[in-house]
Amino acid sequence: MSDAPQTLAGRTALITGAGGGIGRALALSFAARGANVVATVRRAATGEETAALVAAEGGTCSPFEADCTDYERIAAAVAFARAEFGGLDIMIHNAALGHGAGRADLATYDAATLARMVDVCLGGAFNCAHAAFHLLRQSPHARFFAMTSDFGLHGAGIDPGYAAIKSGTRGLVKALAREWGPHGITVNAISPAALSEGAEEFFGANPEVKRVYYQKFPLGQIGRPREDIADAIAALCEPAFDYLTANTIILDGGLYTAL
Amino acid sequence: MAEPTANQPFVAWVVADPTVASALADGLSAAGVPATALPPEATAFARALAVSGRPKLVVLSLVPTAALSSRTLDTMDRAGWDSLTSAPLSSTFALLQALLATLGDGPLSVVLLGPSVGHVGASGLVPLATLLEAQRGLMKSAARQLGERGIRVNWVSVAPEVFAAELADAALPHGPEMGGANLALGHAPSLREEVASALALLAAPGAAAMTGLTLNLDGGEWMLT
Repeated sequence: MSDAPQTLAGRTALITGAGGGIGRALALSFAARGANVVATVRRAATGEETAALVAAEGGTCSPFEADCTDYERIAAAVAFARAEFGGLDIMIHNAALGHGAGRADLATYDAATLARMVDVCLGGAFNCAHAAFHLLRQSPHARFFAMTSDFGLHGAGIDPGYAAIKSGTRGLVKALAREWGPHGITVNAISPAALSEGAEEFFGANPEVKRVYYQKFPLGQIGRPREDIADAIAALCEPAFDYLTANTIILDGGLYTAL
Repeated sequence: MAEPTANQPFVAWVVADPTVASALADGLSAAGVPATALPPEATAFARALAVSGRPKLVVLSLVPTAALSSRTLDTMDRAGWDSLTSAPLSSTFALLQALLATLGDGPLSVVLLGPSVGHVGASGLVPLATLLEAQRGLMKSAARQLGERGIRVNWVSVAPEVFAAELADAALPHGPEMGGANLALGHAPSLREEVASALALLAAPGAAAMTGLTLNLDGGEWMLT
């Protein structure tokens, strides 16, 4: 059992993209606070790894193979949460997909790549919201989170597609928060700056880029997925934040201050 | 609306559905910026260029009519969602790419325009808010990429009920000020007059430093941070 206060005991969270990065960190943080976690992943092996890491800390995490772009699989994951844990209180659409090839020019941006990114980020958010609504509305502290990015806030020049879909996530959140407010469900976006595995690899290969970039953070570094990002999101699920909705929570060490 | 002739270069193109395009093109022309309305088709740019020459201003408002109808998310299916979000966003990319391929480098002022729903959200309009904010994010990224090519890209929002009559029936949120109607100007700026005039300003030499901006022309209702 974790030493963390059991602030989420008895609650159930479903996290997409939980096979690594922030998603895995979320599974660990939420389980450490007593939540039952359903960790959806595209590849079963990564889900098993996440579940094993959670189990090693004494937490409860059930991996569930579900591509977030597949509505039926996400609906099945929600049904699994209900069958396994009796309901669903927290839905986090964390899975994301970027261009992944450095700077991508708008003039030649590949339509198929964009379609796939939109499918994961925005289509996935729809799937999560639609599938979870009937259970979230039964929870006394219901939360829906979608991960956005500072790339969406400042409109990253290196990837017009990612800037678009992450900005679009904020539109989704603001409208859905108004729609779901009467049902007692809070809806927020999280804009994390986290040192994911991919970012770590990139900065390892580009140390000068890392040095210059890190200087832009008032807190001096990109956040740690668990301690700086996931733990904070777990805190947002406590009743103290029942009144927080329609917001973008920027967990970026102070990188973007122009909101 | 100005009619194309072989000798008269159009200064502005307006790409939108016919109602919005007509109002903005008429208003721009009245404001001294000869404008023509174009359909949202990639081939329209090359045709217009052949007829009218290079524009200084291109306004794109790419919102499918179906996205203006209020409907809660739980009553939608995935295909419907995609038709209101993924498909028009893909079209926005394609049209911008066609525009760049047709016109090359600037000087050029590009304005993306839509209702202000994306800024403040609205129950029943989740797909519309999603699309608009995605387009606005794209605007920012495009502004960053294209600035050195002499192309400025900005976003203009207008009051929803001004943008489309369909939105007047939506559950639109009112501004945060206490009381009822609370527009600083007392009214929502019209497409044909005030909005068109603001668009003309964005093509004027005095706007040379303006790029990546969001101008919310809602009469002073929300006053964005």
